[in-house]
Amino acid sequence: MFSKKMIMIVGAIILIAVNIIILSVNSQDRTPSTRIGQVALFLVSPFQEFASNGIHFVRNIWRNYFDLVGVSQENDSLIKALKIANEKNNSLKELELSHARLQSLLEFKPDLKRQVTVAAVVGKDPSPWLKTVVIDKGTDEGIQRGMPVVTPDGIAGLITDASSSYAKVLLITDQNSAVDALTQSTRSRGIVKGESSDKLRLDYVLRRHDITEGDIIISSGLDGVFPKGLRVGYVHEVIKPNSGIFQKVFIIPYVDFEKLEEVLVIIDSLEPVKFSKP
Amino acid sequence: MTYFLYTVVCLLVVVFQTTLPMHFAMFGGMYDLFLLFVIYLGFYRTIREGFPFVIFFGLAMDALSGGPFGLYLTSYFWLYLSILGMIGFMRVGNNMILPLVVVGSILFQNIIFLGTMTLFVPEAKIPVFLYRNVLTQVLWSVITGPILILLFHRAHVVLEKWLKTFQPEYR
Repeated sequence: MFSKKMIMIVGAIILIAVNIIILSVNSQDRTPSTRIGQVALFLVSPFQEFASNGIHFVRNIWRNYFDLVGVSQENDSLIKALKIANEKNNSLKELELSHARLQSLLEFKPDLKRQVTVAAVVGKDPSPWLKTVVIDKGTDEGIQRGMPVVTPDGIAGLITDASSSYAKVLLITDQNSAVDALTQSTRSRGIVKGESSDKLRLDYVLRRHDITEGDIIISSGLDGVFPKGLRVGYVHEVIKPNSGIFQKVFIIPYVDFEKLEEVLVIIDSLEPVKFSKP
Repeated sequence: MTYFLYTVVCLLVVVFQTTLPMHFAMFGGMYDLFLLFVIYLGFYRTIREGFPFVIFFGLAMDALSGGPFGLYLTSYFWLYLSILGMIGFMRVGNNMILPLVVVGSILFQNIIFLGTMTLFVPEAKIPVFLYRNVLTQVLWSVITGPILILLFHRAHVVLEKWLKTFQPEYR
Protein backbone atom coordinates (compact mmCIF):
# COMPACT_ATOMS: atom_id res chain seq x y z
CA MET A 1 0.00 0.00 0.00
CA PHE A 2 2.77 2.43 0.96
CA SER A 3 6.12 2.52 -0.77
CA LYS A 4 9.31 2.06 1.24
CA LYS A 5 10.33 5.62 0.43
CA MET A 6 7.04 6.98 1.77
CA ILE A 7 7.41 5.01 5.02
CA MET A 8 10.93 6.36 5.47
CA ILE A 9 9.83 9.96 4.92
CA VAL A 10 6.93 9.63 7.37
CA GLY A 11 9.26 7.92 9.87
CA ALA A 12 11.81 10.72 9.57
CA ILE A 13 9.13 13.39 10.08
CA ILE A 14 7.83 11.62 13.20
CA LEU A 15 11.38 11.24 14.51
CA ILE A 16 12.13 14.95 13.97
CA ALA A 17 8.86 15.93 15.67
CA VAL A 18 9.59 13.70 18.68
CA ASN A 19 13.13 15.06 18.83
CA ILE A 20 11.92 18.67 18.81
CA ILE A 21 9.36 17.95 21.53
CA ILE A 22 11.97 16.26 23.75
CA LEU A 23 14.41 19.16 23.31
CA SER A 24 11.67 21.68 23.93
CA VAL A 25 10.60 19.97 27.18
CA ASN A 26 14.18 19.53 28.40
CA SER A 27 15.05 23.15 27.55
CA GLN A 28 12.37 24.43 29.92
CA ASP A 29 14.05 22.75 32.88
CA ARG A 30 17.74 22.40 32.31
CA THR A 31 18.51 21.35 35.84
CA PRO A 32 16.84 17.99 36.38
CA SER A 33 19.07 15.56 38.21
CA THR A 34 19.22 12.39 36.15
CA ARG A 35 20.58 9.01 37.10
CA ILE A 36 22.55 8.96 33.82
CA GLY A 37 24.09 12.32 34.71
CA GLN A 38 25.18 11.11 38.13
CA VAL A 39 26.62 7.88 36.72
CA ALA A 40 28.49 9.81 33.99
CA LEU A 41 29.88 12.23 36.58
CA PHE A 42 30.91 9.31 38.77
CA LEU A 43 32.67 7.50 35.91
CA VAL A 44 34.29 10.33 33.99
CA SER A 45 35.15 12.92 36.63
CA PRO A 46 37.99 10.88 38.23
CA PHE A 47 39.74 10.93 34.85
CA GLN A 48 39.07 14.65 34.51
CA GLU A 49 40.51 15.16 37.98
CA PHE A 50 43.54 13.04 37.11
CA ALA A 51 44.16 15.01 33.91
CA SER A 52 43.61 18.33 35.66
CA ASN A 53 45.97 17.40 38.49
CA GLY A 54 48.55 16.22 35.95
CA ILE A 55 48.44 19.55 34.16
CA HIS A 56 48.68 21.38 37.50
CA PHE A 57 51.66 19.25 38.48
CA VAL A 58 53.55 19.95 35.26
CA ARG A 59 52.68 23.65 35.45
CA ASN A 60 53.87 23.85 39.06
CA ILE A 61 57.17 22.25 38.13
CA TRP A 62 57.51 24.78 35.35
CA ARG A 63 56.68 27.68 37.60
CA ASN A 64 58.79 26.54 40.54
CA TYR A 65 61.93 25.33 38.85
CA PHE A 66 62.25 26.96 35.47
CA ASP A 67 60.32 30.17 35.56
CA LEU A 68 62.49 32.03 38.09
CA VAL A 69 63.49 34.95 35.90
CA GLY A 70 60.98 37.43 37.20
CA VAL A 71 60.85 36.18 40.78
CA SER A 72 63.03 38.92 42.25
CA GLN A 73 60.96 41.71 40.69
CA GLU A 74 57.78 39.92 41.68
CA ASN A 75 59.08 39.66 45.23
CA ASP A 76 59.66 43.42 45.41
CA SER A 77 56.19 44.15 44.09
CA LEU A 78 54.69 41.62 46.50
CA ILE A 79 56.43 43.29 49.45
CA LYS A 80 54.96 46.60 48.35
CA ALA A 81 51.54 45.01 47.93
CA LEU A 82 51.84 43.47 51.39
CA LYS A 83 52.58 46.86 52.93
CA ILE A 84 49.53 48.33 51.25
CA ALA A 85 47.47 45.33 52.34
CA ASN A 86 48.67 45.78 55.93
CA GLU A 87 47.59 49.39 55.87
CA LYS A 88 44.24 48.38 54.46
CA ASN A 89 43.96 45.68 57.07
CA ASN A 90 44.47 48.23 59.82
CA SER A 91 41.78 50.50 58.45
CA LEU A 92 39.46 47.52 58.05
CA LYS A 93 40.05 46.55 61.67
CA GLU A 94 39.02 50.05 62.64
CA LEU A 95 35.96 49.74 60.46
CA GLU A 96 35.16 46.36 61.99
CA LEU A 97 35.31 47.82 65.47
CA SER A 98 33.11 50.75 64.54
CA HIS A 99 30.73 48.38 62.78
CA ALA A 100 30.50 46.21 65.88
CA ARG A 101 29.73 49.26 67.95
CA LEU A 102 27.05 50.43 65.55
CA GLN A 103 25.61 46.94 65.28
CA SER A 104 25.25 46.67 69.02
CA LEU A 105 23.67 50.07 69.05
CA LEU A 106 21.11 49.07 66.48
CA GLU A 107 20.62 45.67 68.13
CA PHE A 108 21.23 43.79 64.89
CA LYS A 109 21.43 40.05 65.08
CA PRO A 110 24.95 38.88 64.19
CA ASP A 111 25.28 37.17 60.85
CA LEU A 112 25.93 33.45 61.20
CA LYS A 113 29.28 32.17 60.01
CA ARG A 114 28.66 30.21 56.87
CA GLN A 115 29.92 26.71 56.40
CA VAL A 116 31.74 26.42 53.11
CA THR A 117 33.52 23.64 51.23
CA VAL A 118 36.48 24.33 48.99
CA ALA A 119 36.38 22.48 45.68
CA ALA A 120 38.63 22.35 42.65
CA VAL A 121 37.30 22.73 39.12
CA VAL A 122 38.17 19.57 37.20
CA GLY A 123 36.21 19.94 33.96
CA LYS A 124 34.15 22.32 31.88
CA ASP A 125 31.52 22.04 29.20
CA PRO A 126 33.15 21.67 25.79
CA SER A 127 30.56 23.78 24.02
CA PRO A 128 31.20 27.55 24.03
CA TRP A 129 27.44 28.09 24.28
CA LEU A 130 27.01 26.25 27.59
CA LYS A 131 28.67 27.51 30.74
CA THR A 132 29.01 24.71 33.27
CA VAL A 133 31.94 23.24 35.17
CA VAL A 134 32.51 20.06 37.16
CA ILE A 135 33.97 20.30 40.68
CA ASP A 136 35.68 17.58 42.72
CA LYS A 137 33.26 17.57 45.69
CA GLY A 138 29.86 15.90 45.85
CA THR A 139 27.13 14.67 48.14
CA ASP A 140 29.71 12.96 50.40
CA GLU A 141 30.86 16.45 51.43
CA GLY A 142 27.29 17.65 51.92
CA ILE A 143 26.89 19.28 48.53
CA GLN A 144 23.37 19.29 47.12
CA ARG A 145 21.58 20.73 44.12
CA GLY A 146 20.74 24.39 44.43
CA MET A 147 23.65 25.35 46.67
CA PRO A 148 25.44 28.60 45.80
CA VAL A 149 29.00 28.50 44.52
CA VAL A 150 31.24 31.51 45.09
CA THR A 151 34.87 32.60 44.93
CA PRO A 152 36.63 35.27 47.00
CA ASP A 153 35.95 37.63 44.06
CA GLY A 154 32.21 37.05 43.91
CA ILE A 155 29.39 34.74 42.85
CA ALA A 156 30.33 31.92 40.46
CA GLY A 157 27.14 29.88 40.03
CA LEU A 158 25.02 27.17 41.61
CA ILE A 159 25.05 23.39 41.87
CA THR A 160 22.74 21.72 39.36
CA ASP A 161 23.67 18.08 39.82
CA ALA A 162 25.78 16.10 42.25
CA SER A 163 27.12 12.58 42.44
CA SER A 164 28.88 11.18 45.52
CA SER A 165 32.24 12.81 44.75
CA TYR A 166 31.57 15.34 42.01
CA ALA A 167 29.09 18.06 41.19
CA LYS A 168 28.07 20.13 38.20
CA VAL A 169 27.96 23.91 38.52
CA LEU A 170 25.87 26.18 36.31
CA LEU A 171 27.89 29.40 36.02
CA ILE A 172 26.19 32.79 36.22
CA THR A 173 27.42 33.49 32.68
CA ASP A 174 25.12 30.76 31.30
CA GLN A 175 21.96 31.96 29.57
CA ASN A 176 19.87 29.83 31.90
CA SER A 177 21.28 31.44 35.04
CA ALA A 178 19.54 34.17 37.04
CA VAL A 179 20.57 35.98 40.22
CA ASP A 180 18.41 38.50 42.06
CA ALA A 181 20.66 41.51 42.54
CA LEU A 182 20.98 45.12 43.69
CA THR A 183 23.23 48.01 42.84
CA GLN A 184 25.28 48.66 45.96
CA SER A 185 24.98 52.45 45.90
CA THR A 186 21.40 53.13 44.78
CA ARG A 187 19.82 49.76 45.79
CA SER A 188 18.13 49.45 42.38
CA ARG A 189 16.91 45.89 41.98
CA GLY A 190 17.14 43.61 38.94
CA ILE A 191 17.88 40.12 37.74
CA VAL A 192 21.41 39.30 36.61
CA LYS A 193 21.33 36.98 33.61
CA GLY A 194 24.07 35.26 31.66
CA GLU A 195 24.89 36.18 28.09
CA SER A 196 26.99 33.10 27.20
CA SER A 197 29.96 35.47 27.01
CA ASP A 198 32.26 37.17 29.50
CA LYS A 199 29.55 39.73 30.32
CA LEU A 200 26.27 39.65 32.22
CA ARG A 201 23.18 41.79 31.93
CA LEU A 202 20.97 43.23 34.63
CA ASP A 203 17.35 42.89 33.55
CA TYR A 204 14.18 44.54 34.84
CA VAL A 205 15.84 47.71 36.16
CA LEU A 206 13.39 50.59 35.95
CA ARG A 207 14.40 53.53 33.75
CA ARG A 208 13.91 56.01 36.55
CA HIS A 209 16.67 54.39 38.61
CA ASP A 210 19.99 56.13 38.30
CA ILE A 211 22.71 53.64 37.46
CA THR A 212 26.17 54.68 36.33
CA GLU A 213 29.15 52.83 34.93
CA GLY A 214 31.30 51.35 37.67
CA ASP A 215 28.43 50.76 40.10
CA ILE A 216 28.92 47.56 42.05
CA ILE A 217 26.25 44.86 41.75
CA ILE A 218 25.62 42.61 44.74
CA SER A 219 23.22 39.76 45.39
CA SER A 220 19.95 40.79 47.02
CA GLY A 221 19.33 37.49 48.79
CA LEU A 222 15.73 37.56 47.58
CA ASP A 223 16.10 34.62 45.18
CA GLY A 224 16.51 32.19 48.05
CA VAL A 225 19.80 30.89 46.64
CA PHE A 226 22.59 33.41 47.11
CA PRO A 227 23.12 35.10 50.45
CA LYS A 228 22.68 38.86 50.47
CA GLY A 229 25.67 41.10 49.82
CA LEU A 230 27.86 38.85 47.66
CA ARG A 231 29.57 40.70 44.85
CA VAL A 232 28.48 39.86 41.31
CA GLY A 233 30.23 42.42 39.12
CA TYR A 234 30.37 46.08 38.17
CA VAL A 235 28.35 48.04 35.66
CA HIS A 236 30.08 48.27 32.30
CA GLU A 237 27.41 49.93 30.15
CA VAL A 238 23.99 51.46 30.66
CA ILE A 239 21.57 51.96 27.79
CA LYS A 240 18.36 53.88 28.41
CA PRO A 241 16.05 53.28 25.44
CA ASN A 242 13.67 56.02 24.37
CA SER A 243 10.68 53.82 25.03
CA GLY A 244 9.90 51.08 27.55
CA ILE A 245 10.01 50.99 31.31
CA PHE A 246 13.31 49.18 31.75
CA GLN A 247 16.90 50.13 30.98
CA LYS A 248 19.61 47.85 29.65
CA VAL A 249 22.50 47.35 32.05
CA PHE A 250 25.58 45.29 31.16
CA ILE A 251 27.89 43.98 33.85
CA ILE A 252 31.43 42.66 33.94
CA PRO A 253 31.62 39.87 36.54
CA TYR A 254 34.30 40.02 39.21
CA VAL A 255 35.02 36.33 38.80
CA ASP A 256 37.38 35.51 35.94
CA PHE A 257 35.61 32.42 34.59
CA GLU A 258 38.43 31.64 32.18
CA LYS A 259 40.77 31.11 35.11
CA LEU A 260 38.37 29.48 37.54
CA GLU A 261 40.33 26.83 39.41
CA GLU A 262 38.96 26.72 42.94
CA VAL A 263 35.51 27.59 44.24
CA LEU A 264 33.67 27.68 47.55
CA VAL A 265 30.33 25.95 47.92
CA ILE A 266 28.18 27.50 50.64
CA ILE A 267 26.73 24.52 52.43
CA ASP A 268 24.41 26.17 54.91
CA SER A 269 23.42 29.39 53.19
CA LEU A 270 19.70 28.91 52.88
CA GLU A 271 17.31 26.13 52.08
CA PRO A 272 18.48 24.51 48.83
CA VAL A 273 16.40 25.53 45.84
CA LYS A 274 13.67 23.16 44.81
CA PHE A 275 13.55 23.01 41.03
CA SER A 276 10.00 22.98 39.82
CA LYS A 277 8.78 21.89 36.45
CA PRO A 278 6.99 24.60 34.48
CA MET B 1 38.41 -5.18 20.97
CA THR B 2 36.90 -2.53 18.69
CA TYR B 3 34.33 -1.62 21.33
CA PHE B 4 37.07 -1.37 23.94
CA LEU B 5 39.05 0.91 21.62
CA TYR B 6 36.00 3.12 21.06
CA THR B 7 35.33 3.32 24.81
CA VAL B 8 38.92 4.38 25.49
CA VAL B 9 38.79 6.96 22.69
CA CYS B 10 35.45 8.22 24.04
CA LEU B 11 36.96 8.68 27.50
CA LEU B 12 40.08 10.36 26.15
CA VAL B 13 38.05 12.76 24.03
CA VAL B 14 35.80 13.68 26.97
CA VAL B 15 38.77 14.29 29.25
CA PHE B 16 40.64 16.19 26.53
CA GLN B 17 37.85 18.55 25.64
CA THR B 18 36.57 19.17 29.15
CA THR B 19 39.93 19.61 30.88
CA LEU B 20 42.42 21.16 28.46
CA PRO B 21 40.46 24.34 27.62
CA MET B 22 40.47 25.17 31.35
CA HIS B 23 44.25 25.32 31.45
CA PHE B 24 45.20 26.36 27.93
CA ALA B 25 43.30 29.27 26.47
CA MET B 26 44.25 28.29 22.91
CA PHE B 27 41.94 25.26 23.18
CA GLY B 28 39.04 27.43 24.36
CA GLY B 29 37.54 27.78 20.90
CA MET B 30 37.97 24.12 20.01
CA TYR B 31 35.12 22.30 18.32
CA ASP B 32 33.45 19.12 19.57
CA LEU B 33 35.92 16.34 18.79
CA PHE B 34 33.21 13.71 19.01
CA LEU B 35 31.92 15.00 15.69
CA LEU B 36 35.06 13.63 14.06
CA PHE B 37 34.39 10.25 15.58
CA VAL B 38 30.78 10.30 14.40
CA ILE B 39 32.03 11.13 10.89
CA TYR B 40 34.56 8.31 11.11
CA LEU B 41 31.92 5.81 12.22
CA GLY B 42 29.56 6.94 9.48
CA PHE B 43 32.15 6.83 6.72
CA TYR B 44 34.29 3.84 7.55
CA ARG B 45 32.38 1.50 9.87
CA THR B 46 29.19 -0.53 9.69
CA ILE B 47 25.89 0.70 11.12
CA ARG B 48 25.85 -2.20 13.58
CA GLU B 49 29.19 -1.08 14.95
CA GLY B 50 28.70 2.68 14.71
CA PHE B 51 25.11 3.33 15.72
CA PRO B 52 25.29 2.09 19.37
CA PHE B 53 28.38 4.23 19.93
CA VAL B 54 26.80 7.33 18.44
CA ILE B 55 23.94 6.91 20.93
CA PHE B 56 26.41 6.18 23.74
CA PHE B 57 28.54 9.26 22.94
CA GLY B 58 25.44 11.42 22.80
CA LEU B 59 24.14 10.23 26.15
CA ALA B 60 27.58 10.57 27.76
CA MET B 61 28.05 14.12 26.55
CA ASP B 62 24.51 15.11 27.52
CA ALA B 63 25.08 13.69 30.98
CA LEU B 64 28.24 15.74 31.47
CA SER B 65 27.02 18.89 29.80
CA GLY B 66 24.89 21.60 31.34
CA GLY B 67 22.72 21.98 28.26
CA PRO B 68 19.20 20.63 27.72
CA PHE B 69 19.32 16.84 27.90
CA GLY B 70 19.32 15.38 24.40
CA LEU B 71 21.14 18.26 22.71
CA TYR B 72 24.37 16.40 21.97
CA LEU B 73 22.47 13.19 21.22
CA THR B 74 20.34 15.04 18.68
CA SER B 75 23.36 16.52 16.90
CA TYR B 76 25.28 13.21 16.77
CA PHE B 77 22.24 11.17 15.75
CA TRP B 78 21.20 13.39 12.84
CA LEU B 79 24.77 13.94 11.73
CA TYR B 80 25.30 10.17 11.65
CA LEU B 81 22.11 9.65 9.64
CA SER B 82 23.13 12.44 7.24
CA ILE B 83 26.53 10.85 6.68
CA LEU B 84 24.91 7.46 6.02
CA GLY B 85 22.67 9.19 3.52
CA MET B 86 25.67 10.92 1.89
CA ILE B 87 27.52 7.64 1.46
CA GLY B 88 24.80 6.61 -0.99
CA PHE B 89 26.01 9.08 -3.58
CA MET B 90 29.60 9.83 -2.55
CA ARG B 91 32.79 7.85 -2.81
CA VAL B 92 34.08 7.16 0.71
CA GLY B 93 37.68 6.75 -0.38
CA ASN B 94 37.83 10.35 -1.62
CA ASN B 95 39.63 12.13 1.20
CA MET B 96 39.31 15.51 -0.48
CA ILE B 97 35.71 15.82 0.69
CA LEU B 98 36.61 15.27 4.36
CA PRO B 99 37.34 18.96 5.15
CA LEU B 100 33.95 19.87 3.69
CA VAL B 101 32.18 17.17 5.70
CA VAL B 102 33.97 18.25 8.90
CA VAL B 103 33.12 21.93 8.42
CA GLY B 104 29.54 21.00 7.51
CA SER B 105 29.28 18.94 10.70
CA ILE B 106 30.57 21.80 12.87
CA LEU B 107 28.05 24.20 11.33
CA PHE B 108 25.29 21.60 11.65
CA GLN B 109 25.96 21.13 15.37
CA ASN B 110 26.14 24.88 15.99
CA ILE B 111 22.82 25.38 14.21
CA ILE B 112 21.20 22.69 16.38
CA PHE B 113 22.70 24.14 19.57
CA LEU B 114 21.85 27.73 18.83
CA GLY B 115 18.46 26.84 17.40
CA THR B 116 17.54 24.91 20.53
CA MET B 117 18.86 27.57 22.86
CA THR B 118 17.26 30.52 21.13
CA LEU B 119 13.93 28.86 20.35
CA PHE B 120 13.24 26.81 23.44
CA VAL B 121 15.17 28.35 26.36
CA PRO B 122 13.03 31.11 27.89
CA GLU B 123 14.39 34.64 27.31
CA ALA B 124 17.53 33.32 25.64
CA LYS B 125 19.24 35.52 23.08
CA ILE B 126 21.71 34.84 20.31
CA PRO B 127 25.15 34.81 21.98
CA VAL B 128 27.24 37.92 21.40
CA PHE B 129 30.35 36.11 20.17
CA LEU B 130 28.42 33.99 17.68
CA TYR B 131 30.53 34.66 14.59
CA ARG B 132 33.85 34.62 16.43
CA ASN B 133 33.10 31.30 18.14
CA VAL B 134 31.82 29.59 15.00
CA LEU B 135 34.71 30.90 12.91
CA THR B 136 37.26 29.69 15.47
CA GLN B 137 35.67 26.26 15.49
CA VAL B 138 35.62 26.09 11.69
CA LEU B 139 39.29 27.10 11.44
CA TRP B 140 40.32 24.55 14.06
CA SER B 141 38.30 21.84 12.34
CA VAL B 142 39.65 22.55 8.84
CA ILE B 143 43.21 22.27 10.11
CA THR B 144 42.88 19.30 12.44
CA GLY B 145 39.66 17.45 11.58
CA PRO B 146 40.57 15.53 8.39
CA ILE B 147 44.05 14.70 9.74
CA LEU B 148 42.64 13.26 12.97
CA ILE B 149 40.00 11.20 11.13
CA LEU B 150 42.56 9.74 8.72
CA LEU B 151 45.05 9.09 11.52
CA PHE B 152 42.46 7.25 13.55
CA HIS B 153 41.31 5.27 10.50
CA ARG B 154 44.88 4.25 9.75
CA ALA B 155 45.54 3.31 13.40
CA HIS B 156 42.35 1.26 13.52
CA VAL B 157 43.25 -0.64 10.32
CA VAL B 158 46.76 -1.40 11.64
CA LEU B 159 45.34 -2.53 14.99
CA GLU B 160 42.82 -4.83 13.33
CA LYS B 161 45.54 -6.38 11.15
CA TRP B 162 47.74 -6.89 14.18
CA LEU B 163 44.91 -8.49 16.14
CA LYS B 164 44.15 -10.87 13.25
CA THR B 165 47.65 -12.31 13.51
CA PHE B 166 46.62 -13.79 16.87
CA GLN B 167 43.69 -15.68 15.32
CA PRO B 168 44.37 -19.44 14.74
CA GLU B 169 43.89 -19.44 10.95
CA TYR B 170 46.61 -16.82 10.55
CA ARG B 171 49.21 -18.75 12.53
